[in-house]
Amino acid sequence: MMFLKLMDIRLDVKTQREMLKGFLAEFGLLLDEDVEESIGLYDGKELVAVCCRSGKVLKGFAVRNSYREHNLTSSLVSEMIRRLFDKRIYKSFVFTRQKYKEKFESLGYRFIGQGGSAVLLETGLNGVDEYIARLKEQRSEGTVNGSIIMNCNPFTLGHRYLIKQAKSMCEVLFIIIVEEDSSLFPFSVRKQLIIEGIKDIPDIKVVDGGDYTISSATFPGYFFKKENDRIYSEAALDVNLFIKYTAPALNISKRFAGSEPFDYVTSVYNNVMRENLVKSGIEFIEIERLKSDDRYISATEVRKKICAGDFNSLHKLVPESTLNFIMSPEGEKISEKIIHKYRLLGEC
Amino acid sequence: MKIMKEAMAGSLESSDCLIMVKPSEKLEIEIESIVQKRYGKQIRAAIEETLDEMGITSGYYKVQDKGAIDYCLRARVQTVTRRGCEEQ
Repeated sequence: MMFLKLMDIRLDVKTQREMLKGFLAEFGLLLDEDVEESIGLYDGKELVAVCCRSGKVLKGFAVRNSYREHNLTSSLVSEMIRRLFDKRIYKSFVFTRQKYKEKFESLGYRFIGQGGSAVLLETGLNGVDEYIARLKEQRSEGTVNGSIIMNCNPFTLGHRYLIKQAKSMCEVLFIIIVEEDSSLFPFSVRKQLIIEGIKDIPDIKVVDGGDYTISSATFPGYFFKKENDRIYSEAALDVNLFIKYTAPALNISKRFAGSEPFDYVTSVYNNVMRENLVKSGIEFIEIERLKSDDRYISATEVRKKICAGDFNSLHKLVPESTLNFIMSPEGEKISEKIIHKYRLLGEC
Repeated sequence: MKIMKEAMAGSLESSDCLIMVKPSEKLEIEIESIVQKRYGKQIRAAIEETLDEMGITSGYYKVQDKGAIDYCLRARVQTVTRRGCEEQ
């Protein structure tokens, strides 16, 4: 019997952070910048196993070779599940390499999808089956159904244009909203502004994306934009989950997206959709974005204007409902956050 | 007693089990065990008996068994049930 001690690795303490980075590097792993919490098992003073957590996603698992037979992963996973429950998060994902799939399946994780060499597994309460059941309540039979996945941070005239174009090519359009709350406009506000901005267009259903469409579990690179080769496999994972769960649950045969002239991550995502959706019998249609004064309308542009205090020309970019919100006391608070963030980035 | 909220007890260590519960209108017990083939029936019987003694008639139970002995299993069921029945 071995006696190992489980301890937190403090990411805010430079020496501990560096030690963790060094440990992970031995296994060819990187410490992702979105990692919030990390725990380690120590044999005396020596670190022998680690596990990291970002939101409800467990990753960065590493166990020293000489300790592999002791099944330390189960101790680490148990501890993380317990900690998540304390935070009232009742499920967890594991984002790992294909070769470790069976290892996590033996710990009760269920394989839900893959992209490239990355696999995603989940365990806990309210998994993908509940997500599908929730979607099926909105399902439409006997109609040509399309879908568009949107973040709308915030809702612009460009989004409205995309929706109208998409709607002209199908009978029922599902707008699936990115639910992850890491955008400057919170999910509840983004959703409200979409609903208000499209209320005159019939046969549109607004659906919450949950953990399975562009979330920190399926597509972390979308929120921590970085040009690296992982973006491709993450995008493929996300699209595969759409093909496997979302599209059949909602009876979707077309997927729309705005063309992406600027952003690297989104353009990779569009390419992956083009390649994979068609193979699965789902039509992929890219719609050119709407321009205003010869510039593409984007939510980024809106945030930049807010940052610059240029509220007078906002009406060219957003519908009245969004503009009213931005000028409201609640909107002002978000404007302050935007200004604060962009100043830190030196973009304002 | 009635399961009012999500709760968990136990671990995935060898010879233990991890049980999660959440509110549900009917009683649902999902069991995954490394000894399912040999002891599946006994495990279910032990869980149902424990819940019966505690007067539990509803709730969703997800049990991941790593070869826990009967006493351990019953203790985990009792603990997770009490946790799930506590006030929010």
